[in-house]
Amino acid sequence: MNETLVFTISMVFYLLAFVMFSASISLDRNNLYKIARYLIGIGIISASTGLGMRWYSAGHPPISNMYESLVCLSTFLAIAGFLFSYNRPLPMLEGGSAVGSLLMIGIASLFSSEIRPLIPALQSYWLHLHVSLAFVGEACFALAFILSYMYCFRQILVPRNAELISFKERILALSVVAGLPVFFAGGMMLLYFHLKSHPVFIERSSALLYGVILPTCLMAGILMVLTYLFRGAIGEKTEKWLPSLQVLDNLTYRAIALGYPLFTVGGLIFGMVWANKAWGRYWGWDPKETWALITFLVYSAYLHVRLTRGWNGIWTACLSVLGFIVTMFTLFGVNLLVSSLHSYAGY
Amino acid sequence: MRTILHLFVSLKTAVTIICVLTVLSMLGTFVPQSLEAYQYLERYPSIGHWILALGFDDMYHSLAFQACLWFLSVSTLVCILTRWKSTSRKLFSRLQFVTEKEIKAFEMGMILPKLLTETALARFPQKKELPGSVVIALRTSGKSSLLGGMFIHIGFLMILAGGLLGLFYGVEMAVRGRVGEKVPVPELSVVRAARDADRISRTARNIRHFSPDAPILDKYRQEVEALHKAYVDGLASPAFYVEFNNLWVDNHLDERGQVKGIKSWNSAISFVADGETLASGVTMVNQPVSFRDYSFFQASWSKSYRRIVVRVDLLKDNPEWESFVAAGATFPIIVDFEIEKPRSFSWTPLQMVMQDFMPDFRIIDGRFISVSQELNNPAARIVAYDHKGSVAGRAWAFPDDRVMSPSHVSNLPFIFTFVGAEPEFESGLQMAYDPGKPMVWAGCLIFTLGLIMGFYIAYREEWLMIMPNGRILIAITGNRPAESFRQNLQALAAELNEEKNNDQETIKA
Repeated sequence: MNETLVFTISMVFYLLAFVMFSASISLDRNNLYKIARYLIGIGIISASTGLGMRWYSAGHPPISNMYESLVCLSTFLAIAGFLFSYNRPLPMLEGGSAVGSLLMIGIASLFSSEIRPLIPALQSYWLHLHVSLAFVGEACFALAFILSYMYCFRQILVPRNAELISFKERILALSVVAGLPVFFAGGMMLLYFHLKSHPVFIERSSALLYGVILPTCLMAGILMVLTYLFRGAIGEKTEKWLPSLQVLDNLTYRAIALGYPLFTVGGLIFGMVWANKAWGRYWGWDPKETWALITFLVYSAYLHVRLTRGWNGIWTACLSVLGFIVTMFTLFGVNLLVSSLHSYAGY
Repeated sequence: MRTILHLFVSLKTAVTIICVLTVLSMLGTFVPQSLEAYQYLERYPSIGHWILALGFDDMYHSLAFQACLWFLSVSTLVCILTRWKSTSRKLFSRLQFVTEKEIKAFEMGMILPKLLTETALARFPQKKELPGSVVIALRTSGKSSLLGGMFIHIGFLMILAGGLLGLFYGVEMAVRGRVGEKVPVPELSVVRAARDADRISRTARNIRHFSPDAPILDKYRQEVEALHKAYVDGLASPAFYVEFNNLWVDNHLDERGQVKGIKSWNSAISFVADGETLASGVTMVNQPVSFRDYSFFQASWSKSYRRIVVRVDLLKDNPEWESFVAAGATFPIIVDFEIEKPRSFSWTPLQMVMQDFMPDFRIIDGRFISVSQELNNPAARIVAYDHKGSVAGRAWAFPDDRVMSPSHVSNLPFIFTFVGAEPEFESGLQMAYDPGKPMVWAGCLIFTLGLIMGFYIAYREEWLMIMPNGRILIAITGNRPAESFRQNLQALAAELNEEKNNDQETIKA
């Protein structure tokens, strides 16, 4: 069996899991939530099997190009979401991680899935440590991003007469909730035009447009319209399926506190050690290195802001969202748009 | 002074500097770095002069970026010093400074319904009696977590200090060579002179672009001349030579033995001084070799063809052929050329030069270029000169399987056919010396330890307060959100209640 087929199977399970999580929230059925957990578990098992098959046939861990990186990160995200809500049911977070994993595999299918031997620069055990640890950290950042999005969503559902939330905070929350889907669509369109200008990707760029961008936008649009139409009903049942702002803030912090050391050690420190071994210097201000540093700085700012009185809450949620956008740019934007020593990972 | 101290201690200051550093780092990846001044002015007519004036053409060495780093370093140092007092109190004398009010204010606390026995109190290693007959007891865990932040900040400072050492005293230089070549490696001071000369020259070029008569340019010129002289003198008496003994490529092969891709570029090198080989080794990507102060890393690799073999056939269609061919010559003849090296032959009075060789040639936009270094579509250009040195004719050499009209490929009475070419590798080594590295690695280690201690070990204080009226308050706090201690509080209550029940059973018995 081809591992691409296995990844497609896992995509189907992620999609079914998302539908079940949504159904469990809207119908308020606990048994549907349990089914959704099983479905996402099967999705994780099949994606992990696909990764194992690819590792076996390639002879190296599946983290050497864009296709492998996206599939690997998607699996890590699904696992992180599954484990994070092990003790406490968080259907929105789990549904979000299922959609994130689904999208990542969808985008991965645009890139070549051909197994190629490792280029000399990647033949090092540091590849395993550097990339895999950084990916685990990034999966945690993705969870923090989903939780922060939930935080903003929760904040706009708080009744207007509540004194605790200022007008400025409400506007900020609204711009995150409504702006992020637009930002995602814009980013994907940029990727579409970029790929379209690349001779190898002309045909695949159409797949991105019709297979990823349009369905996602359509789905996000429908969800937004439904949320607006049934805002009253949603607001009433918010307490049941959406944790309080304080809890969401704490969970976001936990996700970042889990991912930050992993990303810093894996992405930056192990990267420095490897760069020193391969290129003779531990730091060279290569765009990829610099963006990894920027990611570290944004999350460092998050951790410091959280300690600053009066700056936490919506501001830290926004920083967490910004941090994840920077993380994604570091991971993919730099490879595709900026020429760097890490360009071998581009396609 | 106090205001300045407050400025450096403030978390808001730290966040602001981090944000400014983030923005500057981002700009550095979008603005092309280390171009010449005129290139910035050409590419960015409206903001080019701002880029140069602010030093953003070399962002990470610019005044703004360095100032931010210094400011952050000082802020970090002040933060370490000021926080040490509260950290050491928590570590060594927590009980001494605690107040009844503080314990009551802890978010995660509860009043126990029943009285506690002495044996339960014994579970708390630290005890103290406050004025008013209030007894407090403390049990802590994960104390190392308190040092996590300290370690992170100290590690960060050490990394910056190591980076600074490398910036001032470190050097990097490229060493390139082919098999058999010996490349001189000068002393460290000499390489530093070359590095400094480059930096000063660049600054001078930028200044000259804006004000060609600036007096400082003379000073810079003198400095560069002195440094250049030091470099030339140093190169004449090198510290040692790097000799390239062997260069080869290992390939990934498929089941049929076909090459799938490059596995490794290998350079066998020796370090030679005074005619004596002092050390030798093999460098490849991810496997450097060190000698004396320097480390050598496999950085680049190129393949070229110096010796090209062609077959020469006579074209008797050319009316002048007899004047180009020596008497008694028989064709075809196999000859070899070295690129750009003139050759004389016994079979012709002409002198011939292979001017160019393209292993994988294409015509793109009317230009002849080689798209790779593999022998996929080779083409060689040969120029013939007569005894006066004038060009007598030109010819192209292609492989046998390219069918072309002779008049299109040669205006000489000869047809040249490509037979083969010997590949020759050139290895590029990155030579580096960085005295700051040990400090950077030590900093990384401390930083990593700090991350583990600070983020993965939770510091917890379990408090027990016995009021004069016999009421018991238990509370838990630490360096995690209060909500995360809820389970610990329940566990503590259960532990103490169990203790009490045990005691009651003992009394009954």
